[in-house]
Amino acid sequence: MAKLFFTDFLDHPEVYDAAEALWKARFDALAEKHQFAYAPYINVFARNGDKLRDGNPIFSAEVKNLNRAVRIIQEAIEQPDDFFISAWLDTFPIDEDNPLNELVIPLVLSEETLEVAERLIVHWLVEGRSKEEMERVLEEELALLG
Amino acid sequence: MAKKHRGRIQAQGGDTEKSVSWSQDTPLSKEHGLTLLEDLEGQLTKKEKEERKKQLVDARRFIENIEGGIDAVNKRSFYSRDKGNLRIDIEVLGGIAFICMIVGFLLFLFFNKS
Repeated sequence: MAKLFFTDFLDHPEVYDAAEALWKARFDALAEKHQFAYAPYINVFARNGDKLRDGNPIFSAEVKNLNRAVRIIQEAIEQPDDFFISAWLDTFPIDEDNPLNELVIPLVLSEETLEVAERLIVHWLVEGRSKEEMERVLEEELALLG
Repeated sequence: MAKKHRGRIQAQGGDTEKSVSWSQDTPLSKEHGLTLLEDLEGQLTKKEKEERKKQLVDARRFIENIEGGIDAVNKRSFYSRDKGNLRIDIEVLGGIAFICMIVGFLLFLFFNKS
């Protein structure tokens, strides 16, 4: 049974911010453990000053020296025992001459999906896997989940 | 030289990689953004369109509902759980996007008055 976190994060700003803080804390821990520096790269505010709290994305991290990034999309639960995680690679030409390589992870946040997401992030940012290797790893990891 | 306001909307996933883009001196209006989304939809095959039916609706809704526009850098992916990585991505790479025409006109006057 999935241990779900922050199930009402889209209904309450304080819960959303707590979920966001969880991602930041987990990423900070990964960054410290594996010695890399990162910074958010997606603007999460509308021009009227409102913070966009729709989970799309809930967290973003760019590791400049790798030209790689991670973007997490957190979804609302659809059923009480919801389990969902997916992932794909993408490019983002903020710099037209040197597009940023992204690992995108949409998920419903649970103890289990958080662990999988962290594994994928380590594959992408720490182990230096090529894009081809990463495609294979994503297929294998996601196939294990059924 | 890249213009200040630029971005693209993409249909990706599976064997699909199609896009429309903008690069201009003035912020992209909502109306133009919706037209671009329609142009992208026009590029899709019947199958691609069917596979991304919900995603196209969600992308449209996002553009219509964003209040006051959005500043770069922004990226939103619209996907369905049961469709894997088949998706529509909206990327705001530079400047401002999806403002109402009247706001855009006022911004244009403001930035061009000097």
